[in-house]
Amino acid sequence: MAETIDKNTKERVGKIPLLTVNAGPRDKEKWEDRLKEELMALINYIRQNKEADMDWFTIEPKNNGLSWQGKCWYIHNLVKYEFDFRFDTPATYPAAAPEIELPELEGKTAKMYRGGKICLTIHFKPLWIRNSPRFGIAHALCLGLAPWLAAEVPYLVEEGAITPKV
Amino acid sequence: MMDLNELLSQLQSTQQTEATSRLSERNVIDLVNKLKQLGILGDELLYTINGKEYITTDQLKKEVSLALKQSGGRLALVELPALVGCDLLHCERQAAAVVAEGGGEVLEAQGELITVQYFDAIAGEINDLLQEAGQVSLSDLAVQYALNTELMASMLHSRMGGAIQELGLESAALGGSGGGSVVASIVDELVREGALAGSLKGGGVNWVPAVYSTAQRNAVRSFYEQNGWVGYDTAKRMGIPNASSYLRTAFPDGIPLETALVGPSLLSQVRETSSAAASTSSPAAHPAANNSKGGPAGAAAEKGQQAGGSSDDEDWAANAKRGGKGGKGGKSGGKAGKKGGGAGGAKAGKGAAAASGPGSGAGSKGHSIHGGPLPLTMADLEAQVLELRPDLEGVGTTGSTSGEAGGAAQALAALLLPAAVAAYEATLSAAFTTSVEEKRRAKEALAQALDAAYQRLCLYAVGVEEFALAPAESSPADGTVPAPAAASKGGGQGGEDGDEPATKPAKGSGKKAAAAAERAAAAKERRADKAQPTDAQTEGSSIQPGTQQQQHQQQLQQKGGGDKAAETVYAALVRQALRTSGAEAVDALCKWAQVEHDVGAMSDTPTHNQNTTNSNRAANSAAATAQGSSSGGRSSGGQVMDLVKSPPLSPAERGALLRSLPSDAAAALAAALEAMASASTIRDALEALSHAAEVLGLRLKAVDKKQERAVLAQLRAELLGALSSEHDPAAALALVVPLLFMRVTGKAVAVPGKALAAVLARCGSGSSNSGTRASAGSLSPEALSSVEAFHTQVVEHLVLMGGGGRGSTDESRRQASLAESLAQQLPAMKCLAGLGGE
Repeated sequence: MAETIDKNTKERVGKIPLLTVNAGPRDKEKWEDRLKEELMALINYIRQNKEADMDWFTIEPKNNGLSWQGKCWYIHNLVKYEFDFRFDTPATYPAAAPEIELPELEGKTAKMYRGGKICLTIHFKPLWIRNSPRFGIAHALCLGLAPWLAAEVPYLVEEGAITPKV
Repeated sequence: MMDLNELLSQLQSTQQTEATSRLSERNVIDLVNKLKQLGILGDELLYTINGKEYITTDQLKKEVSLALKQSGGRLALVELPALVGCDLLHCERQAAAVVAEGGGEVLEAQGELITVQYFDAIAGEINDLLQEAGQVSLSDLAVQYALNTELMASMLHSRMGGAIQELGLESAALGGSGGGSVVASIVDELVREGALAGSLKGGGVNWVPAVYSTAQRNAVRSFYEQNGWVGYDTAKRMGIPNASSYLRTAFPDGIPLETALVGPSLLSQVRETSSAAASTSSPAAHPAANNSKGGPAGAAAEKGQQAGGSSDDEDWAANAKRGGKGGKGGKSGGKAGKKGGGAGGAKAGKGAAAASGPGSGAGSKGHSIHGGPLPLTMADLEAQVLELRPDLEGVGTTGSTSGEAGGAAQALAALLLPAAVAAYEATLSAAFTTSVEEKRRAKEALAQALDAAYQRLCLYAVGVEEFALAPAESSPADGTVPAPAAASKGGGQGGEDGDEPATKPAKGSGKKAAAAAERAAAAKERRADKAQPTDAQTEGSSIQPGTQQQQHQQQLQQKGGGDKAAETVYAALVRQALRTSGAEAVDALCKWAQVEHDVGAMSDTPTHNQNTTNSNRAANSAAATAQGSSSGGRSSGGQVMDLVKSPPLSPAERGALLRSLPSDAAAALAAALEAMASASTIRDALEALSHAAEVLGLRLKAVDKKQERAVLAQLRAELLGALSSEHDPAAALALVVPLLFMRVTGKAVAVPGKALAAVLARCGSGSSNSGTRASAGSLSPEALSSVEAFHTQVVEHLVLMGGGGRGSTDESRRQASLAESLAQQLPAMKCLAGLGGE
């Protein structure tokens, strides 16, 4: 993990508040508290990004936090590449990490599972397990989706698999 | 904790807020480059000096304008880069654009941007300054505001009456480079208005008041009316620059001559006089009658007569002086006519003849024979013809009256008159026009001759010391030391008389001691001369028979080592040197003084003691020259150079020269002449000669060691040259002996006949006794004996030739054999002397 996550990412993820409520969607009363902490962490992370001119996603909870959807983008060679993403909150959450899907990129890269789920097995899931239940959705986006986009979008651009949405 | 809905709305609002743009420099540069590549920005984007900013040309132009305003309307272009942070090239382009778009409001001058407002501001300041001071120099303003004068002038003139208020003389007040023209224009204006009377001349530089011009015109006119003529020089002295044209314009009825404008009244007067003279047929009484043609030449001649009588006529005096310096001195008309008419009048007549053409030549000639000594009147000429040819007297006369003309002599005189007059005038002209250059050349040649003789005399002075110092000439038996020898030892011993014991220490230097010794020897020699005949009979190289016995006695005395004999030899050598080279030197000095002081009335420069005026001298000189007078004529005319080659001056000529020289110069020259005749030592004579030359203005340089060698070589060459062409044994011997002495001792002596044996003896003794100079060579005993034998035979031959014997047949045979023997030995002697190899 130490080798895979760079210093800047560590600093940013360190500024995201850790969660304290260990509850999943099946815990009806505590889930709402957990969801509040998730939203507060997201707000904090998004605010940091905007202040650092590093804003790169938007997100919106659906169905009382059981599913999430939004948009993420990456700028490569001064060209912005934007994608829709979504994921469902696992039933064993927070013990299990959410599986983020980029449906429009399905079949365009090998670092993706069926259904457009990005591959987070090697680097992210061990980290999530070690920090569960203190990591939340903001951490999953910061440590999972952002590195994946930084690694795969240039490759996809060079391959010509994706084009910018003008 | 917040409500869930609030958190959702907060999340929504947070995501909708704009992100802070934080682009790195690299990103910005990349972005700008991208925009340029895409053609969105174009080429108008400029970099700033620090390289961290982009600036458009429009923005740069605005910033340039802003900087110009902030600097007060004047801004140097070189200051723009620092102010706007852009390169000077871009600044200059935008400044040019600002000037172009300014519509005359902004100027670019002297590397600066200057606005009209700035000019208005300084015009206001200058106006204040003008109001206070009344006058401001344009150059001062240009310096003060650091603007060039032209720009400043144009700016101020354009604001005249505006920012600069009208003053009475505001144009003049703005002086400077254009001040002169401004003043000139103002003065012109004043003249036109009548406020000033006069005119500007010399390009507006000089102001000439009208009263001055009026006075000038009146003076010239008054002079013309009073005298009937005006000289150009007179007009020039009155301040008229172009006198000739001015006088012709002012007096159109006048007749322009070479140096003057003559009025018709004077011309008619001359004609009347000529007619009167012709009627009396007396050329001497009415000289102007011989102006047969009249006209301008006659007018000029008459003018000369009149000018001689008017003492205030400086102009004619100048003309007369130029013609012969004859017209000024006389007070009465007749006297001046004689003096001035004889010389100056002739010249003036000649000049007038040249000006008026060939036709007036007769008038010139006619004038030249009137007045003065009258050397060339018809009567004189006729008398001279009759004197030369008395047989013509009475021939061809037709009338009984003696005064009637028509005789052959008179006809001959009339025939000769033009040529005689021409010759007279040529001689007269030569007398007065001796060129300064010729005089200078003569003086140079004489000075060179003087130098050469002086240097040779210096050589002889050294050479005779050889004999004064010779210990061989002393008399060891009597226990005394000869004075010269003692002197040569540097003052250790010396005495007034060579016979005295050398006990007195000499206080002077070696030279002084030597001179004293020479004087002592000379004194003794003079005493000896009373008892012995001098060598006056043996002057030159020829040995007179009457002195042979005396020479023989001297030789015997020298052989015996007698002191008296040595002194006699020394004195003889001194006298010979003085009578040859010394005489040449003093003669050259006399001639030099004669040329320098113009003895004989040759020079234009006044002499010291001549009380006669220039005019008198000129007249006398002219008369003397015309009459062929020999006195004083040697240095006049073209005979100056002849003086250089002429024989030595006679005692009478020297006396005349001394009388005509200034007292100090005459005294010094007389002392030099006396020294050459009777000086006991050569050094005394040299001092006297040097002093005389110094008084006369020449400086004779003493011969140093280097020059001594050169002079010695020259003298040797001269002697050898003379020897080569000499066939007389006696004369050849007189040349051989000095050459041998020169060869042995490296010194020169002038050897008289009676000293030949002594000099030969010295040659045989080898090198110089003084030891100061190594001998150039020595004579072998054989060579010496052969020369001595030759000398003996020459003496014997001369004795026989002089009738020393009784004229017997044996003596005749002996004389013939001697002559033959001498002739055979002569080539060997020449060879021994150094001619044709040794």
